[in-house]
Amino acid sequence: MAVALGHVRNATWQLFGGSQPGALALALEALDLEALLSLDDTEPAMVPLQPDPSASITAATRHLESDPNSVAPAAWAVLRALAAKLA
Amino acid sequence: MATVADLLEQLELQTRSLPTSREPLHWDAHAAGWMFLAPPILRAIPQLGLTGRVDHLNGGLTTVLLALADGPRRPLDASVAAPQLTEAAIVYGTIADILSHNARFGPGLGLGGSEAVKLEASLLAPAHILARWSATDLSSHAPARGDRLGSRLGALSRITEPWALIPPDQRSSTLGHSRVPTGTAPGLDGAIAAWAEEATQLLGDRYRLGSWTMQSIAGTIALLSQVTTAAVDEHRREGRLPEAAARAASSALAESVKCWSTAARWPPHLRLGGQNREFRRLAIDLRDECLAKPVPRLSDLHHALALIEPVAGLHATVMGHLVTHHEIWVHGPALGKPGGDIQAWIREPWWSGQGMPLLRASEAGVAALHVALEEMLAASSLTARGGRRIVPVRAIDAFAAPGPERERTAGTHRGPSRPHGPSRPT
Repeated sequence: MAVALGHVRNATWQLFGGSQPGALALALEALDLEALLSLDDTEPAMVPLQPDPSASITAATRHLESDPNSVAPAAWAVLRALAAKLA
Repeated sequence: MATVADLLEQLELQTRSLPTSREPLHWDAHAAGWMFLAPPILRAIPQLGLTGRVDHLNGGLTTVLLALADGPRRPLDASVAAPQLTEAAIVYGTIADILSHNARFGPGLGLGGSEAVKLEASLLAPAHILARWSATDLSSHAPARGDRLGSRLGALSRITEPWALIPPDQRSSTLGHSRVPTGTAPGLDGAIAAWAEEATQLLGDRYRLGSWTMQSIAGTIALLSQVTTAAVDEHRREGRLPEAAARAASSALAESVKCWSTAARWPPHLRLGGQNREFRRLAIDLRDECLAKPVPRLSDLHHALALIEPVAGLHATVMGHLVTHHEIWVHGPALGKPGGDIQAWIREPWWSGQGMPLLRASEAGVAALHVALEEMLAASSLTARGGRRIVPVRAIDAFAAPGPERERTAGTHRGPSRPHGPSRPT
């Protein structure tokens, strides 16, 4: 979970710095996902930065899918929606 | 949510549709009606925050309104009050409530000054029409009576006449945007009110404040600024805002977007623990309202920005505290060699200033937002001058001319009323 959260934080950082249309709204969605993944104030891991926000979210998804029972169900919906929008 | 401008428009509609039939209302109906109507007018005017010798200037107005509020020296049944006057009293009362609320807690739309004088004119012009209508109705009912009510109404109509001679499009005030923020209102108004209230509480509570909250607040301000920029640009393209003023507002808003996006962009190696589920829900509500289709009205966005401004200021203050007191946590390796070889999250050492760019962005964002609001106020003020088309002079005419003259259609009678209506004491 800490690694996945790290990737989501990277994506948020990338999106807030993005200049493409809609990046700001997507950054806020990523921030929302961050909240859903750290409901118990999980300490995030520092993970390598991916080339773009989409890759960061993909990496986060990969880690979450390896341990789905630890993920709040509400997070999946936000994660899928965000991944689709970024793709 | 109704604004003062909406209520004034309703008031003008009411005063334009006052009955001019030959069936006058009873004396008690007027007396009781003015006992309802005078107090809210008396309450609204001081809330405008007019400066200078206002007490002297408005002395006559206050005296006559107080006398009308006192009523006759005998009990009156409230149910007999003229509905035209009680309906106007409700609108005046609502305006007085909004002005009173905003004077104490409002988002500083700028009371006092020329905008307040224009709003005063918009408040007193309908009062003139109502006074004249009542006086005319009373005189046709009992012309020989010569009671105090008639003379007081005559005095009120004379005192308020100068304001009623100003056409509406020359007294549209930017204070017309005022409204009472309430979290239960639908749409953007409600979402922003609830969000701003919770954000203010969170920013004042260090134990509930985390980096997520700080990012969410900054990001939401950036988003709101961005949506408003788009709305201003659209209004400019459609010619609904003056070109130069709209461009200035748009430029200031774009700067606000840039600053607040940077303030929200906490690098992954910085964090501050803490979560707030309630605020998350409110942030989502507000984000959805910002991105809703159709886009919120520009006046609603302007009001939302005005409400958000104090939150932005508080954000910068709190950010300053977090940075200067080194309360932010940093991931050890991000400190470089001076940080040693710590592979964990640690509280930022005294010699480090990792959060400084975030603080500078937040402070610049406050300044940019302030400029943006000023520019938007200027743009909307320019628009307001030519925006409204209600002409209550016609309504004044309808009650000004005595006898059969009142039967004339408003369209055939132009210019201000002659000062010889039946309500005038001889």
